[in-house]
Amino acid sequence: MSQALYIDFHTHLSTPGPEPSGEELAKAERLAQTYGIVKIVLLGNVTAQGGPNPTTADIKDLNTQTLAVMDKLPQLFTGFCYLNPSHPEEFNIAEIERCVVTGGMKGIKLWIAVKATDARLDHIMARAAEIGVPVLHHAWYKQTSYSYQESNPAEIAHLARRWPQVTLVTAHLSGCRERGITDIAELPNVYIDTSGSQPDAGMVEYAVKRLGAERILYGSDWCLRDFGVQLGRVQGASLSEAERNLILYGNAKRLLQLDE
Amino acid sequence: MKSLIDTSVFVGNWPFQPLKENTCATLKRHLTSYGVTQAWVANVEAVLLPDPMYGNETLFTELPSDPFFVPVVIINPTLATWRADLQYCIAQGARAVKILPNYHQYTLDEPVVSELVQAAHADGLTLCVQMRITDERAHHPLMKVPCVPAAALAALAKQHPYARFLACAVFHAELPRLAGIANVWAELSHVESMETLVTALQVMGDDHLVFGSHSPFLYFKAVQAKLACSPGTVSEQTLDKVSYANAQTLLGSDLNNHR
Ligand SMILES: [Zn+2]
Repeated sequence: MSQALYIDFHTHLSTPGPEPSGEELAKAERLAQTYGIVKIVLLGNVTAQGGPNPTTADIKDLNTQTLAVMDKLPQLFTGFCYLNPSHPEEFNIAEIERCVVTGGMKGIKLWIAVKATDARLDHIMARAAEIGVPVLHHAWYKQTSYSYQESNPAEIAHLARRWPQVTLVTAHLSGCRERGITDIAELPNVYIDTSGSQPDAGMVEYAVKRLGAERILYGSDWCLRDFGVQLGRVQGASLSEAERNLILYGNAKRLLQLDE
Repeated sequence: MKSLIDTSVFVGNWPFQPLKENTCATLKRHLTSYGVTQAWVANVEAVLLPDPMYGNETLFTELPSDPFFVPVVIINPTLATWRADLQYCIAQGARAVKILPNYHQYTLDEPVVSELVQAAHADGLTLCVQMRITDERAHHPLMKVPCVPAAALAALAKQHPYARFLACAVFHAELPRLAGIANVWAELSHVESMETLVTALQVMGDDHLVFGSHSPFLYFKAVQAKLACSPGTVSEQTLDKVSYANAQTLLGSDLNNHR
């Protein structure tokens, strides 16, 4: 591929509230252009507002901002609907309706409010199955700095077994690492994104060996991380061009159902 | 060819990550393919082996005769023989000392560390403090090793303003602790933000950042991307400083013919 055309499956902005910051969007646009990123999946500004257990008002604000960003820069941005499974079913289902069905978001993002093994995720998963969108779930194996109700990849695998008809994206390859990759290896409905921690050499090749390149998505975790560094871990891995293109572009295009 | 000095690389094996380029020969081929012109190398096995001299000896045996590698020796000042070992390593051509207070179980405020700083400085050696080897969150459950506190390095450097210190594998969030101290430099391997070099320069200024890849633990291409900034954000002159000129100062240019 001579022309860089990357899709970033895991990003956030740092601005709280329903209104995006024009300055921040300009920075995102400039950096995306620098690194050849043509589409950015915005997962909601989870660290900017609401903390680990956001209220319904926080969730509304953050999703409203994602919709506003998609409206302002529709070419560059798409978004996922950020939800807290501990909220009432009626609220979550209405939010999916507002953001995904009507608003055009491409999936659902779950973070650390509730563990992936919790039955309170089920109404969200059922709706994701009905409308056919992927669910991206935070995951990490942590020996320190464990935060609130964080899920590990084995707990993501538990969710994937309960909902085999839903495409799940496990966040943070370098947080999940070898053990996490083996947790999801035998579950074909589970993908992983390449973000997390440092660009540890060999980790992308290991994931390709265990999962196949078809189940790996380039994601940066910008604005906490650097687009160039995060692309570099895929570009610097020993892969075939076909594998690299699937990770940097092809798989995301398929999951997001982007037109040519 | 433009110079690129890599201030922190390793050879040898590490039990928690298979390292592909684990000898001087394979590492040199790897680094030169990305344009590195000089690399400061230590043997990482010296971190966990009971006597770091096992690793240092291997390093000296393996080093090619050309000046591509700058030998960095790992010294554990809690071992009774460290003074003689340091002198031996200097005689073998060591140009910098790397210490790992967290793995070797001492703190930077212990008197023996000041003695080590003075001994290293007496022969013009730079002191590299390895803040961590890998992200603490991913440590083996039976071997969790906290990082070296940046504040402790800052205090040590202020106590010894004549000596030159390099913070290796420091995180972006730790940089403010090291900022504004004339004798402390930081390498970029673990520094990352939404626009790494631009924001790191805002914290540290353009005289105190150097390039370090932490090879072969990390994808070189990923770390090198920190030098490929968005057009118009970082001047050529500043890039030259970060790519090699600051590293030359840090190593002590007057000692370039030492080996
Ligand atoms: Zn994230």
